[in-house]
Amino acid sequence: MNLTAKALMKEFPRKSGSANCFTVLQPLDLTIDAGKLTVLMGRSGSGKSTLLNILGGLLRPTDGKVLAGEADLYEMPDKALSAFRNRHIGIIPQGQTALYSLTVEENILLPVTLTGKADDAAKQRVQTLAKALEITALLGCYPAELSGGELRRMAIARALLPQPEILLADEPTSDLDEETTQLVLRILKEAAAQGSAVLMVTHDPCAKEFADILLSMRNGVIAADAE
Amino acid sequence: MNIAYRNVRRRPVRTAVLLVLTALLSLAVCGGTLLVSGLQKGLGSLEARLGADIMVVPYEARTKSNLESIVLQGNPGYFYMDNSRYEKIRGLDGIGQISAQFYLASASSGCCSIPVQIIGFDPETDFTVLPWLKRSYDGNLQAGDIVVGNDLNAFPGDTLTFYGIDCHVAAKLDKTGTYYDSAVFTNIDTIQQLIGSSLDKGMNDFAGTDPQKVVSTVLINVAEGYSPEEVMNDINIHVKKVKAVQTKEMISGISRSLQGTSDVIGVLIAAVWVLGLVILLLAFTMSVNERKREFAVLRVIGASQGKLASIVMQEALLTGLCGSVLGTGLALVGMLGFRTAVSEQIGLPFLLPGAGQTALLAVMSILAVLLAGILAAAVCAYRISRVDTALILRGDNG
Ligand SMILES: Nc1ncnc2c1ncn2[C@@H]1O[C@H](COP(=O)(O)OP(=O)(O)OP(=O)(O)O)[C@@H](O)[C@H]1O
Ligand SMILES: [Mg+2]
Repeated sequence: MNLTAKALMKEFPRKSGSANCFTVLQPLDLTIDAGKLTVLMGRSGSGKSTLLNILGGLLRPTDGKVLAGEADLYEMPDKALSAFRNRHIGIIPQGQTALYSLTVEENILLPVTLTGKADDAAKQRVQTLAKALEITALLGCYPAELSGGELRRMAIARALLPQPEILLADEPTSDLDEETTQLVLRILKEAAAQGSAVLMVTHDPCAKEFADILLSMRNGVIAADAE
Repeated sequence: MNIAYRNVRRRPVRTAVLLVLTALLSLAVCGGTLLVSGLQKGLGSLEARLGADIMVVPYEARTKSNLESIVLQGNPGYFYMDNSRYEKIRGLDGIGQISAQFYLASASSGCCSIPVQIIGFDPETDFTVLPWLKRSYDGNLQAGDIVVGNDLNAFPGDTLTFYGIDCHVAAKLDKTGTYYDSAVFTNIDTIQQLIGSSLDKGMNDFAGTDPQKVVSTVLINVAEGYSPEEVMNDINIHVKKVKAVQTKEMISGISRSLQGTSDVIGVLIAAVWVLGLVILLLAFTMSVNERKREFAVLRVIGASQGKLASIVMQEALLTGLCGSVLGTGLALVGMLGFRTAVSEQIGLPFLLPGAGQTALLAVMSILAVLLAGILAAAVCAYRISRVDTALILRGDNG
C-alpha cells in the first residue's frame, strides 16, 4: 500500500514576524512507496515530525489530503480512521510512549489487545520481535524499570507487531548506541523488503546507507537529497 | 487484560484518593437523606399517634407538670381531674370522637418491676391507642392485661408488677418512634385498680382521689363542620379548671424546628453533592491529565475516541462503585447502629424507613455517585479526544 500526500500544507497559529500564522509545511506532494525504506532528514524544526504525524492521521493538515492506498485518511470518521490506523499504520512517535501500568510485553501486545484477545500467534510474534530487538529479558518488567533506549525498542516492537503496511518512525534511533542503531535500521529495512511502505525520520548519518529513497527537508520544503 | 483495571490497580495512591472521595460523597448523600426521612417519619408517627384534634388536661397540669414533657417526650408523670368534666365536655357542640385517658407513673423500686409511664384507655371510646394496638394484637384486653411499648424489655407472656399487682403482658406494640415505645398500656378497669393500689400504698401525689371518679386527659376529634379552634375555645370558656389545647399546636413547635433541621440538612446535602461532583470532576480530570500522553499513545495505536471514553469511564466506575458501596454501607450501619443515640441527641422522634425503602435509597445513592463518576469521566474523555493526537503527544496542549 502506497502512502500519498497531495498538496499537503500545514500552518500553526503562531506569531512569526508580522504574520499571525506560521507555515510549517509548504504545499507538497509526496509518495512513500510500498516495499521501500524512505529516509527523511533535515534540520531540527524543519517540519519533519509535523509531516510524519499528518501522514499517520494524527494531525489534521490545513490543506491537502493523505491517501493510504485508496483511503483518504482525513475524510474518514474517527472510528474508521482509528480502526484503519490500528490495522494498517504502525507509528513510532518521537519521545517516550510507554503505558506505565502495563508490562513491556503487554505494551507491545497493545495493538492486538485493544480490539480483542491476544492469540498465540501474536504472543509468538512478540517473542520474535523482542529477540530481534534484544529485549526478551525485559518482557515481564514495567516501563519504569527500563532505560530510554530499551523503551524506544519497546515502542518499535509495538509498532511492528501487527505487520503494518505503512510504518512511520520518528527518530527511532535517537537514544540508541551505534550497534543497536544498526540493528533497528536492519529491522526497518526488512519490513520494507517484506512490502511495507516505511518512512523514517532521522538525524543519524548511518541511515543513508540503508535508505532506498533519501529525502531532505528544509523550512517545510522537501527535496530529493543532493548530497 | 483490561487497561482500566490495570490503571486502577497500578496506581494505588490515586485510586485510594478517589475511593475516599466517592465514599465520603455517598456517605453524605445516603446518611443525610436517611436522617431527614427518619425525622420526618418520626414526626408523622407522632402526629398519627396523638391522633386527636384537641387534648384537654386539668388546668394545673399546664403549669404544674410540664405537659409537653409527658405527652411529647414521654417522661413519666400523671395528673387527674374530676370525671364530671368529661361528661360536661361531651355535651358540648362540635364533639365528634371523645375518649378519656388515665395516666400513672410506676415507681422505680420495690413494688414495681420497671419505672414507666402507664396509660389507661377506654376500649369503648378510644380512637388513638387501639388503631396502633390492632397492628400487633387482635384480642380483647382482659383485666390485668397490659400492652408494652416496643423499647421495653418485656414480651408477651411475661408478668410485670406495678404497685403490688401482677400484670400479664398480652402484646407488644410496633415501633412508633415516639414515647409510646417506652410506655405501658392497659384498659380502664386495670388502670383504676393500679391507681387505687398506688394510693393505698401512699405512693401517689394525689392522695384522697377516688380512682373511679377521675380522668387524666380527654382526647377529642371535632365533628364535621367544626374547626378545632372553635371547639377548643368553647371548652376553655364553658368548662372550668381545664385547659384545652390543639395537638397540632403542641407539635407545631417541634414540627417547625424539625422542618428547620430538615431544610438545613437538605441544603447541606445539596452542597456536599455539588461540591463532591466538582471535586470528583477535578480529581478525574487531574488523574487523566496527568496521563494525557498515555491516552494519546492509545490513540496512536488505534483506539477510537469511544474506546478512550470507555476506558476512562471504566476507571471511574471501578473506583466509583467500590467507593460508593463503602460510603453507603457506612451510612446504613451508622444510622441503624446509632438511631437511638441520634434520636436522643436531637430530642425528637426518629423512625428509619423500612428495609425496602432503605435498600432503594442505598441503591439510588450508589447510582447517583456512579452517575457523577460517569459524568466526570465523560468530560475528561471528551477533553482528550477533542485535540489532535499529535498535539497531545508534543506536550502541554488540551
Ligand atoms: N503545535 C504547534 N504550534 C506552533 N508551532 C508548532 C507546533 N508544532 C510544531 N511547531 C513548529 O513547527 C516547526 C516544525 O516542528 P517539527 O516538530 O515538525 O520539527 P522537526 O523537523 O521534527 O524537528 P526535530 O528534528 O527537532 O524533531 C517548528 O518550528 C515548531 O516550532
Ligand atoms: Mg521531530
